[in-house]
Amino acid sequence: MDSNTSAQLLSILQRYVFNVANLQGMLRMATPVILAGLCALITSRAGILNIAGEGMILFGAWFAVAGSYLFRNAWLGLLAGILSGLLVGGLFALFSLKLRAHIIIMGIAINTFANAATIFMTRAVFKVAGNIADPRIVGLDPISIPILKDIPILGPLLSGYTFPVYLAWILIVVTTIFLYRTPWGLHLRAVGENPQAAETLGINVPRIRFAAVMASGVFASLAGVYLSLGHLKMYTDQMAAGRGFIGMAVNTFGAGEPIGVFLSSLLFGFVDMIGYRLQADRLLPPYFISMLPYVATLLALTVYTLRRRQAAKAALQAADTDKE
Amino acid sequence: MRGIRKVFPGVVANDNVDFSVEEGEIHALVGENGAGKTTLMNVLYGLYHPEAGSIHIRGKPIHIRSNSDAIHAGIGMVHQSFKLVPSFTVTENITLGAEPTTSVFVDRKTARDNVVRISEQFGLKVDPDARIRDLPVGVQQRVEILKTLYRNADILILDEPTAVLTPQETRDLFGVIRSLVAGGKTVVFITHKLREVMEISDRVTVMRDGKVVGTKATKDTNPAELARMMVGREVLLRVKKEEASPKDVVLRLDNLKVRDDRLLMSVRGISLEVRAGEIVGVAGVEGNGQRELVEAIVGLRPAAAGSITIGGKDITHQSVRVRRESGLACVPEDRYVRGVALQASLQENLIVDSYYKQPHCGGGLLNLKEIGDFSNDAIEVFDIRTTGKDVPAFTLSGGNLQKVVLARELSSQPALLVVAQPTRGLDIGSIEFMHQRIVDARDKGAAVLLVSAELEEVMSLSDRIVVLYEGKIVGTVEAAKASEEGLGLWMAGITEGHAVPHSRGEKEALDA
Amino acid sequence: MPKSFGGILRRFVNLGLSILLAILVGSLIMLWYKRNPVEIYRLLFMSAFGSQRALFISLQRATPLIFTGMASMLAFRTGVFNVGVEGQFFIGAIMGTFVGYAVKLPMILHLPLALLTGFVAGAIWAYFPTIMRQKLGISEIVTTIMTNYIATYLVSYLVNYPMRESPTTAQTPPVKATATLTQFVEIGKGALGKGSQAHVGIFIALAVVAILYFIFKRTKLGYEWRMVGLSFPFSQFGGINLDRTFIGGMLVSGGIAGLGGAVEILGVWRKYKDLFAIGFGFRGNLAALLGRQDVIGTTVAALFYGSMEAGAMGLDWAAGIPRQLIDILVGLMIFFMAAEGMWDFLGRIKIGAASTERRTTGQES
Repeated sequence: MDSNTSAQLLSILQRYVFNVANLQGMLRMATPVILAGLCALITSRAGILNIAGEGMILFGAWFAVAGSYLFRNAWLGLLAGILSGLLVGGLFALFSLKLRAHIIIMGIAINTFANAATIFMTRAVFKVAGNIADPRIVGLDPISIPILKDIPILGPLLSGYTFPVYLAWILIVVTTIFLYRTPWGLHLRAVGENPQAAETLGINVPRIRFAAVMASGVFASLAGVYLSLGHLKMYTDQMAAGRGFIGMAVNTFGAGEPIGVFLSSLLFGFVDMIGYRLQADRLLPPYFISMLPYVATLLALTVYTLRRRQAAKAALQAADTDKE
Repeated sequence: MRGIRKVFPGVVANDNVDFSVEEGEIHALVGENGAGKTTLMNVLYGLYHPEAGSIHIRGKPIHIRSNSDAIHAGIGMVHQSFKLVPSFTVTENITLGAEPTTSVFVDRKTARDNVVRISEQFGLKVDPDARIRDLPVGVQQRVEILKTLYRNADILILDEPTAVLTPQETRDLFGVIRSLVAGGKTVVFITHKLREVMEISDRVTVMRDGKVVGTKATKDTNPAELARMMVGREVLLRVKKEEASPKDVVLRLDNLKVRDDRLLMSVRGISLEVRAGEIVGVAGVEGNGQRELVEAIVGLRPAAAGSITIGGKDITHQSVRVRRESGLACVPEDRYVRGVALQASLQENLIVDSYYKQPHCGGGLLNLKEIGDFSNDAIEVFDIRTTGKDVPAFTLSGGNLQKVVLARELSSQPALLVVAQPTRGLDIGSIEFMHQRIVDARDKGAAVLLVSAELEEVMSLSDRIVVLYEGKIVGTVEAAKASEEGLGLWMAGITEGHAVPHSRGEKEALDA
Repeated sequence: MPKSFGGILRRFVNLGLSILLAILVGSLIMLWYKRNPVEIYRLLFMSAFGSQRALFISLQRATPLIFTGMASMLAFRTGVFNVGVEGQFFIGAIMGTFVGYAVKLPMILHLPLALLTGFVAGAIWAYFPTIMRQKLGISEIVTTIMTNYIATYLVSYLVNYPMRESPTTAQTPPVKATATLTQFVEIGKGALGKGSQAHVGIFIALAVVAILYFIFKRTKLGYEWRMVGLSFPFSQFGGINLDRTFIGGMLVSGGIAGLGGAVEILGVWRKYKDLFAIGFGFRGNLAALLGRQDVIGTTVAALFYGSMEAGAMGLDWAAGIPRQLIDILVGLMIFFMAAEGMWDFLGRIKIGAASTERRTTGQES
């Protein structure tokens, strides 16, 4: 490679990768995905197939804006969002766990219902259609962390985000500790892997499942809160844009581990961010940017599964030759 | 336990049962499948609520509404299928639900120390940090027993504990039981194997059709009497059959190798021939490759190496349908998953291997009249108890469903019939029916491969017996010359005086 | 189909009570708008059925739902949750439009070609998530939703750039007359279906229904689809070629959805306008769920849903209540219907001889 090419390569890298603004964008875009991923994680670890994340994010976003508008206070909006998550999670749990509704049907129904209901409520309550954008909505303010922000290079990367971004990171750590170091976390994992094992030892399996679903509601609603209050200060129809499902994908890549969800979400945020960059630089036609997250998800799922299979095969062929 | 009554939809599983156990004894609870033994113990352990009856421990009445209540009362149960979490360690499994804690966290050190302590106290050696999924079955059972001891169980209920053990592991288990009893525990031992009852128990209670038939001191009775009590009539311990006259080879396996779900080689080079008109029985403790062997023959699992030939045709890499077209029929081990589609109708279940060809199908269209006649005939000939051919399969009992499977598989006049665990979970009448039909198929010229974990079944039905151990055939013998002792040794991997090299897990289990 | 009288009766009561409950909740919403629920429901029904015009509008709105409902039902019955019907519909629509305006042929060839293109395009779009599930075991729910979003943006791109008619409008050139499906109002003097855009595509929809009904009832393909949907392991054990059946079912499902998209364009709009088609697929999913995944039930549900949509639109114009009301009501109906546990008290009523749970007891000793 001659010096010209390597100079070009370096400048590309600088522009798209090692660029503070870009990395900040990556972290921001990863946030709702991290939370959606946790939503999928907590239920899948408990052995529940939860596809209602999308709907729960929508409700969270809507009620956060409604709450902020009503009380002129972003934190109360946040609270409203969380409460909606608990409510939807609770209803989901009630119908599918207790009333024996087919869990996939319930998930589909909740997502479509959330879509219709939020559009309806936007018109009914705010008397507008499409967006709720009003100066009366108070968004969350960026938080400037005193010592961190002064660290060279890393400083701007760690400080200056709104609350949900930090909350997502904290929740990743908390969830990890919860799953592996607390009794309830162990019980939850047992319920997910072998519910009979848990049941015969006196663990209340239905209660754990219920709690897991409600927790997933909270996680998802936090993703919604971030979308509407944490960045843009407005609500748009269909704001979740598939993040509920991308969260499921991210949980798969992360193999059900919180740290895996975190890293996969970062990757996703990176791709998302790159897309915007490329659009700004007019390197890709417009609508293709929007497609990027979804195409990326499909590709990533494919690659991940293929590589897992290859790895398993290789490992076992090695083990075989030992045994023979 | 007094006057226990437990009802499930359509059946009274426990009908006014009185059952009592004395402190420090080993009490066997026997009966055929469906007699109500496990149900009764599940009531005791709090898994089921009885409609009527009472439970007293040491004279005091107790009310058991859940597993926790039972555990509090000092009752512990080891079930037939282990209730262990595969990815957890031994310690985590034993302490599950009762973990020692410091504030909100699990106190792993204390947990581990506790486990080591009781492990030594009761002489049940386990590695506290090993993960369950890496451990062999015998060790897993020890973990299950330790679970109960960790919770200070005084009364231990063991449900069919020897189903998954070799004769030698069974002896080890008996040693453990005796030492537990010597240490003051009481053991209730559910089984349908009468020799074990005679060997280990102090008293035995027999149940039949949900009722207690009687309780006797073991030394005052014998297997024949117990069998009579269990069944209510003379039991045919051997199927009546003619001498076999085998003809051409139908099934040939040549150095067949098959991987299991974890991609480990579970069938490690099997060569076998089954001729028309003979029954070859494959004996062995479950988990030695039987499942994968059958799946490979049927075509549900790919062969990693070697070949499978049916009637001279190499079908090693052919689809299930091609194999069936070549004369294969199979009564699968997984009756409810593979053998039938529970949500489909009886008729739909009967035609899955014939719906696409004459006379059931013509030009892509199903011939509903032909199919209907076929179904009705099958119901009649096989005496399937049902209200009609269009009812969903889940309305039928286990025995009747197995008849549906048989009816379908035999209807193609197969050249090769593979039968896996055919009588698991069936009542005595259905068992006799199945055995007779299998012999009939043989007499009509089919080559029959019987795979069963029930040694008595293999010995009574087969003309020739092979024993499977760790994926290889370790012995072959004419059925007439076979002995349980000899087969048992082979099943444990011991051939001609020297042991077959064990996998590490097995060795630990035998050394302990 | 296994019959049990008690089971069927129970289903009807379940359906009826669910509808009732949904109506009740709907009434609460109407009270929020300070309107009399009875009055509103009457208005709803009148807008859906109250005049010849209304009936035709209902028919028009139901037509695409029959397609997407059939597509969803077929997939669900084969054991796949094809929520990608939405995207398959768009792709079929845009491809049908393209053939409609870009090709010059006599009608006898042009129209079938355009329709066929829609079918094939939808099938191709369904292929990717199908292969991913069959060969890699990846859940089709996530993958089909991804393809929906990709389809939305892809179609928007196509309409706004390569296929754009003129710089001022975001739509394609109109399809040629040789590729249109006649609207009823265009027949004769225009007395039939006046005020609506209902078109002969409804007959194509009903033909699809008839074909699927026949397939499931009397052909070996229908048997294979049904068995694979009821139990993968059993079908595999019995010798059914899982790959072929499964993939075939999904492709036909995608194809039907695509065909529906093409029909909607060629019958109603005659050109592709960006973002016109949101929701057809999802409503088809819901119709299939409402119709308990059988052919007749889904068709009835689709007709019902379509007419309710027409009614809701009328309601929107007349009373200002957003048309999403009907989606909300349908969603509620599905919640109530799916929640088996809600109707446990029905079991106390002795209905016929059917006992729906008669598990074997051979396992309990």
